[in-house]
Order: sequence, then structure tokens, then C-alpha cells
Amino acid sequence: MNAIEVENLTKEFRIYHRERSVKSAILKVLVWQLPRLERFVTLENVSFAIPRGQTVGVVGKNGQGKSTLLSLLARIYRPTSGRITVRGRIASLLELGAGFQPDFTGYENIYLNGVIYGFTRRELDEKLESIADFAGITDHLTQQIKHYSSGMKARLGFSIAVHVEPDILLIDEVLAVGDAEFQERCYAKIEEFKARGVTIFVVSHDARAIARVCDRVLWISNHKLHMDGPTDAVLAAYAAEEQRSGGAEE
Amino acid sequence: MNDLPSYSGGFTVVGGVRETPLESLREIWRYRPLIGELVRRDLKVRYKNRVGGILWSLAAPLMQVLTIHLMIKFFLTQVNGYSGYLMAVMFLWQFFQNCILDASNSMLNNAALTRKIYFPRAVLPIVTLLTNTIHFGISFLFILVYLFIVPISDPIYPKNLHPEALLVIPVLAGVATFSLGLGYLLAYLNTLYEDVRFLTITTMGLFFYAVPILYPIERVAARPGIYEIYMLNPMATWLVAFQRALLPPIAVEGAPPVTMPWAFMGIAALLSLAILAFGFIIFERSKWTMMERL
Repeated sequence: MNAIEVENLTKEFRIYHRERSVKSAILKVLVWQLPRLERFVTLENVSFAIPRGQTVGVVGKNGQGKSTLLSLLARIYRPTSGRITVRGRIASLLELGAGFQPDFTGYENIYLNGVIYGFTRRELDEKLESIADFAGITDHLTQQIKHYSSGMKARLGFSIAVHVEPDILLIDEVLAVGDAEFQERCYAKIEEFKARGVTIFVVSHDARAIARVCDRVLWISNHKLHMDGPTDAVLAAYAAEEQRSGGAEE
Repeated sequence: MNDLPSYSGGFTVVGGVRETPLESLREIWRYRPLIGELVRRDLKVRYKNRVGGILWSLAAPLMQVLTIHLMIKFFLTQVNGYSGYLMAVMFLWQFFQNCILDASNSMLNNAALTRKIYFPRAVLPIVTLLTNTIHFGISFLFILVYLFIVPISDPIYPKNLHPEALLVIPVLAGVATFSLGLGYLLAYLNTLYEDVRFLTITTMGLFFYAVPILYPIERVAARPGIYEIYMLNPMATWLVAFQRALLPPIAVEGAPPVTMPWAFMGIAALLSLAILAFGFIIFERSKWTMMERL
């Protein structure tokens, strides 16, 4: 059974060079100027299927569609064409600390996020201690999130996401934050998830992080799926390409 | 697949295919716990310093009531005991205004949440509506207390308290329907244009004169022809109905008393439902493109 199936996925953003205010929009209509429409394809005809329990990494340069792919899987955006099927509860770490209410305490934010992931307050009462423990911020739970350091926010976000018992975990550039000790705990948690059969989808610039956890790598280049295969083979090809383009620039 | 209360247990999205409004409604219904949690959050933010917060939010409409009361008393022809009438409609108008402004900002205010995680976006205006309804409940107690003690020599209540007062509930539902529909429309427009909020406030300021707050509705009823057009505005009808549920018609010289406007209430109910359906469908059609513009 596949956890994620993506068939002929295309995502095109439409950028309207349209007026940002009603006033200028009316003026433009009066002088008969229609909004200019620019299409920008971020992903083109991407297809892949991920069986349950596989850990898949995504590599590629900035602005080539990696993060868009993750947002599409998290259902933040909807595909322009193609089909995405996701089976199971999905938890995402898209932007660390996003989704937190700055005026709320850590404790209140755990409840808010937990309920969005589909838990009842009672279930969260039971998890509360372990979430705080894992994040290592037990002493700060009654403080407002706006007084947290970015590292603390990252740890709390990661801790909530791993405690919602996801079947699928989406991770975007997250493993690069926090101190070495917290990173080690994240890796340990990822290993634990892999052992439990959770499907993990990691986007990162850091080839080493990907090499460490992933079974398979998708390389996105020029908004297309350039290569899809076992970690070693794809990362070797990616490193070679990096070196070539790096050399060309010099 | 798992036995958790999983409303995020998987999905299929197909490019270019929309859910029907019925499917969207079903999904919103499944997300009830989230609505509860977000309402709790909004109330907490609003009443951060408990009692002070509640009193403070009553201050603005009360100041308006006081100003208008004094203005009527000194400059316009006086109507006996008008402050009670004023109090009732002013708080309902305030409720309407807050509902619309909060709903129209809901997509922008929750961008940090919606950019990270999926949930049906249409719950956000519902959350602001529920929060404001709870808040209105508190103000309503205040109105009742006022009617029981003013004027001190001969209070309006309990002698004018009738079972019809229960009509405030369907009237409130009517206002909620109307404002939720407008809220969906404005929430959508607000992600497109940045001056929508400003235009909304200005328009509300103008419509303040087209509803029976500054003057008793009897004065409008004295002008047949104008009255019928005037009452086609659902908010005008809801305000009159709310006032009549709580208070008897006002005796105004040369004007007929206005009783419960049943026929206009039927029209207002239909219009409110139509606007809700229209607003919801527009919002649902553009919920994904809105995300790309946030």
C-alpha cells in the first residue's frame, strides 16, 4: 500500500499584476486596462509513489519547487492539474514556529496545534508532559511564545509534530536548527518512527542529513523530477552536478 | 487505518476539481472541535484581563448611546424614554459591525496558521461569528439590567416584559446569517485588495444613518413609499424587530406606531439566507487561490 501517490502533478502559480487596492482597480477599469496575468510553473508533471514506511529525501536548488511540493502534500495549495493521494494522518513541519500564536503560552499553543491535528483536549492532557519533556522547555510552558528563542520554538514545533502520532511526517529544513544535542534527539526520533513504519518526507539542502536518514532520494531540478532512486546514487549524481555548476561559476 | 479521532486521516486532491458546497459543509461539521478551540483562543485574547476586558468592550457602544441620547435630548424633538430603545439597537448594531469586520480580517489574521497546516478555511469566519455572539450575550445582559432600572421612577421592565421578548433569538440568528454571508464575501475581497477594510468601515458609517438608531422607526413609517424601501435593508428590519421584541412601539406625534414587522422579517430572512449562500459559495470557490495571495 502506498502512503503517498503523486500522479502527473503540475503546479502553476498565477501572479496577477493586479492593483492591490479597490481604488486603483476601479481607475484601471475606467481606462480599460485589464490585469496582466503571469503564469509561473513551479512543478511540472511530477509523478512518484512512496510505499508505507519509506523515508524519502528531496534535494534540489532553491526556487525549483521543493517547498511547493511539500506544501502541496500538506494541502496548503491545490494542484493545477494531476492527482495527489495521501493515506493516513499527515503532520508537517513546514515553517518552524509558524502556526504558533505569539501571545499564547507554550501550553496553550500545544492545545491549539494538537486540536488542529485531530486530537481531543483529553488526549492532549495525557501527551502534554511528554511533549514538554521532549522539547526540553518544561520550565517555560507558562511563558508566552513571543518570549521564546527561535531554537525553543523549533523544538516545541518538532515535539508537537512527532507527538501527534503521524502516519506521514513532512519535514522542511528542520533538522538544521537547534543545538547538536537536540538534533541528535530528532534523529533518534526519526529512527524510532522508521522502525514503527512511519513514512517520512524530508526536504533539505543538507545532503549529509539526507544521506543519514533517507532510503530514497528525489532530485528536483528545473521544476521537474530529474532523478529518483536510492540515496547513494542520487546524492552522488547531485554532488557531481553541484561541483560542475560551482566550477562553471568561477 | 488508525483509531484516533482522525479528521486528517488521508485525502485525495485532483487538480481542477472542486468539492461541492455540501461536501465542504460536511467537512466543516467534522472540524467542530477545532472551531471550539479557536473560539476559546479568541475569547482568551479578548478577555485577557478578565473583568476589565469586558467592561472596556462595553465602553464604546455606551459612549455612543450617551452622546446620541444627549444630542436627542437637547437638539432634536424629544421622545420619552428613548435611551432604552437606543441601548437595544446600538448593541445589536455593534454586534453586526464587529462580526463583519472580524470575519473580513479572519483570513489575514490567521495566515500564520493556514500557511502551515490544513483545515477547512471556511471555519475562520464562523469562529469570529461565534466569538462575537458570546460577547453579545454579555452585552445583552447589560441591556436587560438597564431596562429594569431606567427610568428610575418607573422602569420600562418588568411591566413591558412579554413572552415576545423570546423573538430576540430568531432575530439574532437572522443578523448572524446576514453578517456571516457578508463576512465570507469581505474575507475573500480582503485578500485581494488592501483597502477593503477601510471601505467597509466607511460604508458601515454611512449605513448607520440608514438604520433606525438615531431616530425612532415611526418617523420613517410616517413616509409611506420610503418606509418600504428602507425596510428592504435586512439590517433595518432586524433592528426594528429586535427593538419591538423587547419594547413597545414609541408614541411619536403624527406617525403610526410600528409593531412587529412580520412581512419585512420574512423578506429579510430570505435575503440573509441568499447572501449567506452567495458569500459561502464565493469563498469556497476561491479558498485555494486566497492561500496563494496571503
